[in-house]
Amino acid sequence: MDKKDSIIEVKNLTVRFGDNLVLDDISFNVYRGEILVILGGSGSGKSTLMKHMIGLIPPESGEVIYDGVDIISADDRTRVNIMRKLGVLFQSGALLGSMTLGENVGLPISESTKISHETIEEIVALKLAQVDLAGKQHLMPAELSGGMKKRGGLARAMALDPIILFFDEPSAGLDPITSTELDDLIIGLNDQLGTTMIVVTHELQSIYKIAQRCIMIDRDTHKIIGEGKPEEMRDQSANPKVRAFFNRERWEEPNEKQAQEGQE
Amino acid sequence: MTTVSPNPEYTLTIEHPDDTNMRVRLGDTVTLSTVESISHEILHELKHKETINIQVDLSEVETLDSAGVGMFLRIGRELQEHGGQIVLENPPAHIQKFLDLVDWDRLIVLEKVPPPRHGNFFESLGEEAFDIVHDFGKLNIYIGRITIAMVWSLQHLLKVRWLEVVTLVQRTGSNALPIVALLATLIGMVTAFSSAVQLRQFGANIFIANLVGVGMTREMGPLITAILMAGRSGSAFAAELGTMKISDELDALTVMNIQPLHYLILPRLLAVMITMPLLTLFADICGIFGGMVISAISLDVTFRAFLNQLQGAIGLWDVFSGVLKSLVFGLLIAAVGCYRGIHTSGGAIGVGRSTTASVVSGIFLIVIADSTFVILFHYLGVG
Repeated sequence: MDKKDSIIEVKNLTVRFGDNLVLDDISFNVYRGEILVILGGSGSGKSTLMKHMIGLIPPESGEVIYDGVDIISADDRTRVNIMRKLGVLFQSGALLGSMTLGENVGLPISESTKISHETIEEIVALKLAQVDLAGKQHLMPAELSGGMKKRGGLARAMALDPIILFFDEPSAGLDPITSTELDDLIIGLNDQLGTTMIVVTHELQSIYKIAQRCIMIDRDTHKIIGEGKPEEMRDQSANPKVRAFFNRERWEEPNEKQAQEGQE
Repeated sequence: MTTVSPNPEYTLTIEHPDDTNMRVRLGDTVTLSTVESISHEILHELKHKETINIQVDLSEVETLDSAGVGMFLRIGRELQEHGGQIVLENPPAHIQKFLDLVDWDRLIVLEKVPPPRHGNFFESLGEEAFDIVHDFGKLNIYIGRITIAMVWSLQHLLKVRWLEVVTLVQRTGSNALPIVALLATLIGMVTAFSSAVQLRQFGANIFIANLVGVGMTREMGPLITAILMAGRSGSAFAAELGTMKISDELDALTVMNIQPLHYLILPRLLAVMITMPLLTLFADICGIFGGMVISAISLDVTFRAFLNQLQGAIGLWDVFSGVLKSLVFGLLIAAVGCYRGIHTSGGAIGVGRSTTASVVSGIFLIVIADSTFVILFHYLGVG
C-alpha cells in the first residue's frame, strides 16, 4: 500500500453547533485502501466528523477533499458524483421503513443505473448473501432484528460497489458473534476489493481487530490527540489520555487543568 | 457462428459449438456500466437458439463487480428453467478472488426466493373481518380503561399531572386560537352572506341574527372546532405516542411502573376536555361577529339591532348544548388519537398510518356523535 496516496484529505475542519465547539481545526488524511478508525469517547464528535466528511452537514470552516475536489464547496453535480463512490452504514441501518429489505438494497442501483429489474434482483440476492441475509428479501425492516437491520444497511451501502465505505458504530448493539462477523466482513472487503474503510467506533476489541490506523479525537480539546496503530497508541502514546482509553482505565483530568478550564 | 460486440468498454464474442452449447468470451470491463448491454446481447442470442448451457470465458476480463456477477446469476437463472446451466471458466486470479468473496459457487445454486403469497379476495376479506372484530375488542377494553382512569383522576385529584395538563392546554388550546378565530369568522360571514339574499326577499332582514346565532352556537361552532382539533391535536397525539411506542418509550414507562394510561393519555384527555368547550365558545363569538359584520354591510342591520335581536333569539340552552357536544367531541378526539398512537406498529410508516387513522376516525366519530345528539335532543324535547 502506497502510504502517500490520499483518497480523502480533511483540512482545518472546524465544526460548531451554536456556541458549542465540536471539532477544532482538525486535519488528517485517509489513504487509499486502508482501514482507518476514528475513535474517541462518547460525545467527542466522532459521528459529527463522519457526517461532515460525507458532506451531509456544512462545517463552519475547512475542506474535505476527495481526489482533489472539495466536497463542501462543490456544486450539486460534482457532489453527487463523489457521493456515488461512497457507501455509508448508519448506526441503526437506516433502512427505509416503507420498502422491503430487497427494495432497500436495490434502491441505489435502480435509481442510478438503467439495469433491468431481473438483474437488480440478482445483485440484491448477492449482496444479501454477503451479509448473511440470503432469502430475506421480502421482509420489511420492522420485521428485522437490530443486527439484521445493520447488516441490511451494509448490503445497501455496498450495492454500488463503493470505493469508500463509512461505518458509524458498526458493532454497537450487536452480539459478540455478529459483531465479529461484521469485523471479518470489513477486513475481507478491504482485503479483496481494496475498499477504503472509515470506521467510527469506540469498541476496543473491534479496533484491535480491524484498525490499520487510528485517529483519536478528544472531547475536551476537540482536537486529534493521537494517531497511529492501536498497539502503538496503547503502549507508546505521549498523551496519557490516549493510553487510558486503550487500556480501559478511568481518566480524570489533573486538578490544575480542570481549574484552568473552569476559568476559561 | 460468431458475434462480436461493438461497445468499446468491453469485448464480447459468442460462439455456438453445437445446438445446446454456447461459448461466450468476455473481455475488459464487466461492471455496473456495461452489464445491461452485455446481458441484452447474450439474452438476445439465447432467444433464437436452443442453447441451454453457456460457458463464459473470463480470461480477458479486467474488472468485474457485483453487477457483473448479478448478470451471470440472472442468465444462469434463465438457463436453469430449461434444465441448463452457466459455467464461469478461466477467471484470472483477481477475478477468482472476487468470485470467492461473493461465494459464487453457493450463489448459483441458491434457490430464487418466491415473493410472499397474498391470499385471494375471500381470504383477505375474512382476515379483514377478523381484524375488525379483534380491533373492536381492543377498543372496548381501551374505553373501559380510560373510563376507569377518569374516575381515578376524580378520586386522586392531586396525583394528576396538572403541569403537563397546563402545557397541553396551551398546545391544544391557546395555540389554536388564531386558526379557530379565522375559520369561525369566515364561516359566520359565509352563512350570513348566503342567507342575506333569501331573507331580503321576505323583508326578514333582522332574522339574520337568529339564523347566525342559532346556527353557530348549536352546530357550526362545536363542529368546526372539533374538526380542527381532530386535524390539529388528535393527529399530534397519535404521532407523538406512536413514535414513543415504536421507540420502546411506552414499554420503558411500563417497566418503571408508570402507566402510560395515567402518565400520557389522561393528561391529554383532560387537556382537550378543558380546551374544547372554551374554544367552542370562542368560535361561537367569532362566528356571530362575522355574521354581524356581513349583516351590517349587506342587510343594513346595525350592530345594535343585531345584538338586540340576538338576545331574544338564542337562549342559554343553545349555547350550553353546543358546549356539551364539544366536550364529548373533545373526549372522542383525544381518546381516538391516543388509541391510534399506542397501537402503532411498523416503524415510520406505521406512525403515518396511525396519524391518518386518528384524523379519519376522529372526524367520523364527531359526525356520528353529532347526529346522535340531534336525535337525542329532539326526543328529549329540548332540541
